[in-house]
Amino acid sequence: MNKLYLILVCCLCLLLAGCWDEVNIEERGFVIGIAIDMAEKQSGGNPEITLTDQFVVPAGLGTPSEGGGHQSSQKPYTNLSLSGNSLFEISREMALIQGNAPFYEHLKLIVVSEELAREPNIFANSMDILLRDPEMRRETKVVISDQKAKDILEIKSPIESLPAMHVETVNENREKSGALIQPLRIGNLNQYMLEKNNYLIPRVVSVDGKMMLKGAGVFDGDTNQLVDVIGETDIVAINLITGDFKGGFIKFESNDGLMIYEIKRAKSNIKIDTDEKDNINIIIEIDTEGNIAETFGDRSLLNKEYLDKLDEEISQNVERKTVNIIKKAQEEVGLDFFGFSEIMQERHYKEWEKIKDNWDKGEKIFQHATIDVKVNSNVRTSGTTDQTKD
Amino acid sequence: MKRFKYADERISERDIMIAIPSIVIGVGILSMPKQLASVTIGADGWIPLLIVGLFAVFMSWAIAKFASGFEGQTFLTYASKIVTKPVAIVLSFMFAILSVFITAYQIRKISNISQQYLFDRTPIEVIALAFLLVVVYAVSGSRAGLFRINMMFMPIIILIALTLVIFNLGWISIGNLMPVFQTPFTGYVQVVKNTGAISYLGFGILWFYLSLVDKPKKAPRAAALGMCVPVGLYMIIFIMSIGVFGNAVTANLLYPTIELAKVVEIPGGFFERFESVFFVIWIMAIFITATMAMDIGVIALNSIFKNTEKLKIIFILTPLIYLAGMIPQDVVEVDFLGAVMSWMIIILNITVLILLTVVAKIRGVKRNE
Repeated sequence: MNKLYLILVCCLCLLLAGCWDEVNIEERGFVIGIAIDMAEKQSGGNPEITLTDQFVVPAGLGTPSEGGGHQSSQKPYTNLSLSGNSLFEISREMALIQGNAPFYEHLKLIVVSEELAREPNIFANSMDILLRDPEMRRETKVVISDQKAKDILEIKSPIESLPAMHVETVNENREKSGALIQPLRIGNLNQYMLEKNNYLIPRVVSVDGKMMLKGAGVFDGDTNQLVDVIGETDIVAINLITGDFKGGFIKFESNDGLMIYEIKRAKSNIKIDTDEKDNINIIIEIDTEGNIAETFGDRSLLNKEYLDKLDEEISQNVERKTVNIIKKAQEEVGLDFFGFSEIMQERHYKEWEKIKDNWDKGEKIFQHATIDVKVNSNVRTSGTTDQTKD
Repeated sequence: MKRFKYADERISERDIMIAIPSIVIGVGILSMPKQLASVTIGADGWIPLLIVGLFAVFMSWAIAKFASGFEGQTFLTYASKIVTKPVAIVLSFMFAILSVFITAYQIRKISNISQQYLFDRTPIEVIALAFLLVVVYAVSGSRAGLFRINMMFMPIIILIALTLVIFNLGWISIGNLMPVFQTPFTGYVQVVKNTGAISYLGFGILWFYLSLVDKPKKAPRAAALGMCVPVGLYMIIFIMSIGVFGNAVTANLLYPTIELAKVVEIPGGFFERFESVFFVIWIMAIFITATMAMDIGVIALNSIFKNTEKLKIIFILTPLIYLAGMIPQDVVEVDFLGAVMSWMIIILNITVLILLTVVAKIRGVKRNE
């Protein structure tokens, strides 16, 4: 009997020792960011794409005791670019070059070049594997870049050791600058693509060899193609319209010189009147409150009448900005990227079903819609002091 | 070999209350939001979920009520009294076959899912075999031990499900939940046709387990209460995944509940892969579902073949379960097996309930109340 047990135990050792999926952590090629470009050489037929993976080199990161690892002589990352038709194919080829197979579970950033995003279909097609593969997470951020996307992954960040992490860090400043739109998670992108709503993707540019988030690209939800690029002042207006404003400022010229109004809180209320199919009426009410952050004038601010006058001027300024971008959307771009279509889908479903094919396509109802903006701004205080000079 | 024996094989009403959610919560919840979202608009799927759920609560109550009238008698005994022995044997046999299929389906499905998310290169056959062997080990032990496992696992499962919900609250966007009440009636019919039944399977265990309960006076209430747990949990998980992903995405994700677990990022960045914990716990949930389903098969067969040893029945059933689980070739076939099976189970349970109640009334079979 004891011998039988011994044999059984030996057999168990054989059974339990093996693991099909064992991968040592040193053998994993952790990919932290990827960049997708059009390949330099196109062979005709299916378009060629260049995929760049940013692999983390743990030795370069150093240990925490070394103070973040900046003293380390080794770069904490290596970038590898390869071209091909399919991202999956490229990714598997990378294993042959890198030695460590790319492991995407910790992917943080996807950079897509504007060049690629402007081509029809390729953008949506290259997002497919990033959503389909079980290794991918739906939290990965997507940005577009005005130049080659792979160059963005080369830009050294002053505070982060990995360039791909820099975008994440910058996004934490949404409360300081209204010119950043909400970072786009690939899961949300998937939602836009499936629901065919237009969307904005934050744009990364390189300024004097430094990475900067600036403006956003407007994408057509139907063709998933980059249609236009909008600048940062317009982003402030868009954030105010959609109510997704986390904090920022308005620079305006009053009678006594330049002034900065820091917006602490803003909310918007969008009412859509869908009674008449041909004349959709959209009323946007924006309420902001904040303080005077900087003034170049020299008169006292703490005066009820003067503050009311400032309120009025700020309101007009905001109104002008928002009307501008709405006009641009209706006349130049011809696409609704404010999410009005989503609001109608959610609140006026029956009416939306009737007009959805003709909203910004077909009859282009959106372009003829009446959109009114009402702004109500409030200056609450003037900072720590009234006048700094007399 | 000596086996440890518990003092008695009796269970309490509380065990019944925990057994119901234990068997109901299984693999169904992982893909349920997808199936609902694909045929409804916005978050309307909660309506059929609630209606079918209430029906399941009623069924559990009714079955428990009927079965508790025959205290201490097995299904075969009281069914024989009511509808003659041959019919009772056929019914028991059908329960046994369907239980085998539930076990097979659960094992196949969890093997598929864990291969996709966890073991990329391990063959499904090996995962399924390993899982099945553990299930067999549990079933061959004491029956009361099974209920103790339930009682130990259930709070952990509920806790992890609630953690999933709480950490996802931040990702919900209210807009995704709208519009409300826009699904046409045909949509709801579709829901019931495709999916309504599959998620609430398992009240059939009451036919068999109530004979183990000593004084089953309050058993109907306990069973109904137990059924309320999955109904509530399903509704929360469904609304969660619509709120986080939106209807269109939920309808396209294969396992929205797992994707919900992947979304969780505990602030501070020190814990990113919540889904690994979620998987561990959910495999426990599927384990107890599969175990109880197989145990029902064993009880049913044991009552027919009284002289056969329990272990012998288990060893005959095991290869059958394994084969049944390995028959479907792809995802679509697995889901088809699940759908067919769940309809059979629903129909069988309703038929048995109506048949036994009506015939018992007509023939005046006494219930020892």
